[in-house]
Amino acid sequence: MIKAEQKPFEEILEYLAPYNKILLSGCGACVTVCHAGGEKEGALLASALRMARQKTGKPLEILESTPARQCEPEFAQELSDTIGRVQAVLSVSCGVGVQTLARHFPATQIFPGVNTLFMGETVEHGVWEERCQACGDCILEKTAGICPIARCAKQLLNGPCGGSANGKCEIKRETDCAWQLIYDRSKSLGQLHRLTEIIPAKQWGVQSRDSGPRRIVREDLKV
Amino acid sequence: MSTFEPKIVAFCCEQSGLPAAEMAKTLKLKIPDNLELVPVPCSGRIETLYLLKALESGADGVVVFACYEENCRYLQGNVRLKGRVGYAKQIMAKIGLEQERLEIFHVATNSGVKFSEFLMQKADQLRLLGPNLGKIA
Amino acid sequence: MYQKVYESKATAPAPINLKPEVLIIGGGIVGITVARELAREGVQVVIAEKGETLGGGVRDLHFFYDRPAAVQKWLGDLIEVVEGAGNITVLKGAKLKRLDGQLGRFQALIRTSEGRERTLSPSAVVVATGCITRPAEAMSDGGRCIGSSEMEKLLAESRDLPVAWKGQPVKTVTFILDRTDDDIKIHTVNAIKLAVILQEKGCQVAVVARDLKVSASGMELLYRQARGKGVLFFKYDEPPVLSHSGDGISVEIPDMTVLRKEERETVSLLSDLVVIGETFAADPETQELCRVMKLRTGAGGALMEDNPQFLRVMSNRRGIFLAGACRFPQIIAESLSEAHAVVQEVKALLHGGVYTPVNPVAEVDPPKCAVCYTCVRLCPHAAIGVERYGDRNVYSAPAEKNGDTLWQAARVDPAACFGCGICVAECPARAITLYQ
Repeated sequence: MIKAEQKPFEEILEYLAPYNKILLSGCGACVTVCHAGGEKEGALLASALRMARQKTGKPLEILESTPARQCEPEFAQELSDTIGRVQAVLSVSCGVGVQTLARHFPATQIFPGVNTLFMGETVEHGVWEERCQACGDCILEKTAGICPIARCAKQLLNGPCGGSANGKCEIKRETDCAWQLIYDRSKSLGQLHRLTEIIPAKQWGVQSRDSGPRRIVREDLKV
Repeated sequence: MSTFEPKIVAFCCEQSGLPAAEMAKTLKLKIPDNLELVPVPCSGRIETLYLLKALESGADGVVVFACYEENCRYLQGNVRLKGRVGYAKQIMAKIGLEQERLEIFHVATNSGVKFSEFLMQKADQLRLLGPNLGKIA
Repeated sequence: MYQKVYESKATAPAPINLKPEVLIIGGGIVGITVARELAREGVQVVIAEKGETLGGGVRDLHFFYDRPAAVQKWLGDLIEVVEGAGNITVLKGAKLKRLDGQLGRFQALIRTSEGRERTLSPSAVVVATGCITRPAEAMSDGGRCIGSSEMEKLLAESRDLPVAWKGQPVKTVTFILDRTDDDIKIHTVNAIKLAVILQEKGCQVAVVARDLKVSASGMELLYRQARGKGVLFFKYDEPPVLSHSGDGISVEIPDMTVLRKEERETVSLLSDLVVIGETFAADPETQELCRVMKLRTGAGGALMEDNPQFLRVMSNRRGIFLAGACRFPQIIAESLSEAHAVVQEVKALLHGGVYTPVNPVAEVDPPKCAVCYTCVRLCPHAAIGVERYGDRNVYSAPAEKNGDTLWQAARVDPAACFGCGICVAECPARAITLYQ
């Protein structure tokens, strides 16, 4: 799922400085799961903002709402009444949710409350790590289910660099070398021969973000 | 002379803090005038949000009376609490609230005297610190 | 809002039916005692023993410290009763592979050595898996330094004969205690018990200990009896030094009865045999068992009771009990009192055939649940699981069940919940409520 963490508090205070009534909108999906923007974290941020503003003598009124998913138009629409009553929105959903609100409420300032970091998995409770960079052309079948794009600092496609030492990465010593992991897992699966196949360089411009936002169109599904 | 009497919200674990509070009451020990006791089944029940909400809605200081570590009736309650109090303190630092306004104090059921002494000291400390400027009265 | 710790609810959680069926894991002295007592009360008992014989660690013992009876005879009689009882089933070579569900809905999958599988649905599970012993660290060449159980065997085999070891007569014996397991009293009990027997057989016995632990019923008397019979006791701070001397071993310790350290002289105990207690350790299989049963382990990987200040035989899960050396190595009498405590607890639990959950209990509001597993991971009592309606486990896919739309969401089992509220406070969606 998408992983995010709260933006620096001062930054958020700065966005909200001109306003005295806002909506803090959380999201019940990914950011809830990573404890960044669900109902609990939203309420904590709201309480902190209220107190910080009270201290400066400029009280801030905050309405709170946590739709099940902010990235769907119907859920966004549910906020329309509330948004009519506030001057701005602080959204603690991922960047997608912020933009959904921005698209549906052209007249309202929407501020992000979290930094959307990556698509990752829960390594252990309270620890998340990046696993996918949405390159658009999955090669996990060749790399024993471990992604060198997301997990190798240099995004190497055909084996480790010279800096891989004792299974660790030279860029960040505490990080496992993705290619070491790929080699070890391929070996234990008896699939080492797959690594002899050369993976061609990625066509970033065509498949990936270099050519603007990617789009999926399913004509059969359109209403 | 200041007439400021700080308001203290004291969360009391029913396994330790609450019996200690009752003991202090029975022994007619001194406790601060402006004190609100909130009994909880285990200090693990106290949400980070409760700590902030108490400060937001009028407390000058928040105290949690919890069991000694490794002594929790529910094994992990006071350990989880410790993490949450740490998180709440981080948030308080960002708001600019003094760290002294939030504290865990470990007690046993028979710590009536400690309970009273700690609260009296806390009240003195808060009196010097002055009112919580973040509260929305 | 910070005062609102509980919500009230008109309807109490429904009572849970409990059949009189109990699964006991481990067929040692604790397991069979619990089985015999419960069977007498009309409970259907299954003992799952991993080995091929019942009796466990007690099979290495031959003498009680507090009564003249022969241990093996007593154990044999007990095993006979248990194996002959109509409502006790003994599964040998048995391993618990899975334990699903909660109190009242436990499902245990047991695989026996022949590869057969059995599914049981006990109302309570008693864990009595004991511990293991490691051979005492001998002197480097291994000679004349034996473990406590070897000495016990030696004495059992030569009841009416003079003591001899490998054909050589034994005149002097020194027991060295507290080299390991400093907090366990078994070594003291065994050493004094054997010392009395040896002394009666004409040996001169010395016991060298950091601290004698006599906090068991009758031990003070036994100690006095040993002193009366001429057993010598020495206390040490620094571990004694062992060296070969002629045909025996010389055990050297400073004489601690002299108060001034610099005036202490070294006492040398010339011994035909030196006896060192075995080291007790948690069974390495305990870890896997705890993973399967979602139980806690404590120091050294032993099973951990729920709370040492409350009932020591309770585990962190309701309906699962612990007793005996799987928690902490202890003497037979103490293991047996734990066994009896478990019997009382199980009887109390099964009494009336129902368990009524006691408030407060936590409850998840399914539509709000993001299925993040926070509560499942944090519940100290393993009371929370994610309910899968149907076979799929897809986030927020609503499923039809009994006409109601149900969500895949975490669910707190009211029978297993202790009402601490940890999950309530941690839920990132604030989807859990503590009801009173």
